[in-house]
Amino acid sequence: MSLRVSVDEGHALEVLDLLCRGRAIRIVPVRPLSEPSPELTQLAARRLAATSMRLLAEGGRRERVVLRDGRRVRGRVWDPAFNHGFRLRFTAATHELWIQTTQRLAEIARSSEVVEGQGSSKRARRQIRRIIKIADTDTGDWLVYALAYRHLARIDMPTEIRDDFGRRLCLGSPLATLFALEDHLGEGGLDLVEYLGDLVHGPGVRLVECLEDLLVDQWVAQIDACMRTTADLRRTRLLAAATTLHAWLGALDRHHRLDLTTSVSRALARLLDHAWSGSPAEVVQRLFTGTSLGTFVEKDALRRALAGVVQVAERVLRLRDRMAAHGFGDPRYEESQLLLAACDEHLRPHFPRLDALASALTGRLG
Amino acid sequence: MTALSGVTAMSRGYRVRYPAPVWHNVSAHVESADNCAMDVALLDILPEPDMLALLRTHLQADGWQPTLGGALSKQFGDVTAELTPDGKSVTIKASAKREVVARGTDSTKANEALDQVKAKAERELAGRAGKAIAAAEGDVRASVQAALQKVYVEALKRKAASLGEIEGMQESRGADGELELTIKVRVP
Repeated sequence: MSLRVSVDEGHALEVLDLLCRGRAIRIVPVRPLSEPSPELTQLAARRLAATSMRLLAEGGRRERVVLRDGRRVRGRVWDPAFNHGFRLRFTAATHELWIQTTQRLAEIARSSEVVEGQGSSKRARRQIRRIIKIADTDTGDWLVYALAYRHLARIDMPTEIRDDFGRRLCLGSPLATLFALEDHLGEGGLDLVEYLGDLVHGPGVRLVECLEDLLVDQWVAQIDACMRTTADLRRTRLLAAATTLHAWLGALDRHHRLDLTTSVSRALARLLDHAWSGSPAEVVQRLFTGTSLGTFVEKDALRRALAGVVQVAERVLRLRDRMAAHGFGDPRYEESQLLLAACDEHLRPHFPRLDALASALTGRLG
Repeated sequence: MTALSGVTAMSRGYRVRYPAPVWHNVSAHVESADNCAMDVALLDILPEPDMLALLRTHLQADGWQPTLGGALSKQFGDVTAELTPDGKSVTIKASAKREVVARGTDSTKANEALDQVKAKAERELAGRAGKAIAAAEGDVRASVQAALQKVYVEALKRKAASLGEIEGMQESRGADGELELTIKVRVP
């Protein structure tokens, strides 16, 4: 298929690449596209499908043991026998995200759209609502929104507007919420465990299975970013990260898919080589870098916020111990065996260091 | 100085009236408090209520006093340490207070001066409270850790007794100063 595209159409395709692959926009449009031709729409759809499927296929091609109908089976996630129920469906929300971002990104990504002390201007917030639809989104949209969140940092825009953009993406995609480790669902009147559960009990579960490596990378980067963010936001963001991870474990437990905690265990273990490297005292010192906390109460609150994230490891091990009680023939026996194996391989060897860090952060006695 | 009409002009004395300022004195009570919490994680050798009861007993033997709300507290220098009723955490609290005074030629200026003095005093008092907590933290930890060690020894003895007949018990200190407890139990 060959297609001649105008400068504006080329810009629109670059916006799609920015959202899905984090590629920078180089083309300056004459007049940002508002109504793409059917040919361009088809090209964009192909590109979107190819990017999404490549990402999922790469994550799902590794042979491993997965849970299907409560039983352990060895194979690749993409093997036809293990892939029933999969559906990657894009709704008009993805199309709107692409076209509206093409049209309005330059308008909102300006420092003049930030009101001192109040965040994004009303106009910018209105534009963001137009760009990101949150109702009736489906699996394909969830993936695109999550990728867009991941690549937000590449977009040159004021932090306040980026935060609002990211928040809106999370409201439209449980996967983006999981990527962001942020809890803004109160604004949408949503329950976090229930919202994240949408990823586990339907066709979305295949996304989680295939994106294990990406989730690990994303969480390590996100928690590292939380610890480095501005002093006044650091505690809030760490608390939100802990809340989201605990809610994710709650959702996995509720839907009998605790085998999917592997990504959590791997991320916690990897953090010991990144943001949590060194002795517990060094981590605490690093946590306070750039802050001017004067009182014990303030320092204590920040330490405990990080402890909430570190103690996710304790929660996983408690779940492991609880699940170990399931005997052969019990409904959750097969799931428990996968959880036990993943915990023992990825988390248990690192648990003494994680526990020491939690003790230092909470001043634990005993 | 110039001569006018044959009269020599002389300097004249002037009396300048400078009104004595009427000072408005204002004062305020400034108090600053700080606290630091430490989690207490009891090993579950015995059921949780029994472990907590043992901890309370040993802390009371070390001078910790029960409060009206069911907590235990003890004074360590300028700070107070308090074990919560559920035994899950120990909080070290420090507070410092003092009177500050300021004055101004009218009430507005006096209050402005007072606000500045209050802010400075609050910073100083917060620093003093923080130093008191930092100074006492080690003693509080040592007190609770010592009680916890006794709790574990007692709990292990009770646990062993519940398993069978205790034939012998030996307490010693390891090379690193750690308490080592060996209990021989005859299991029926």
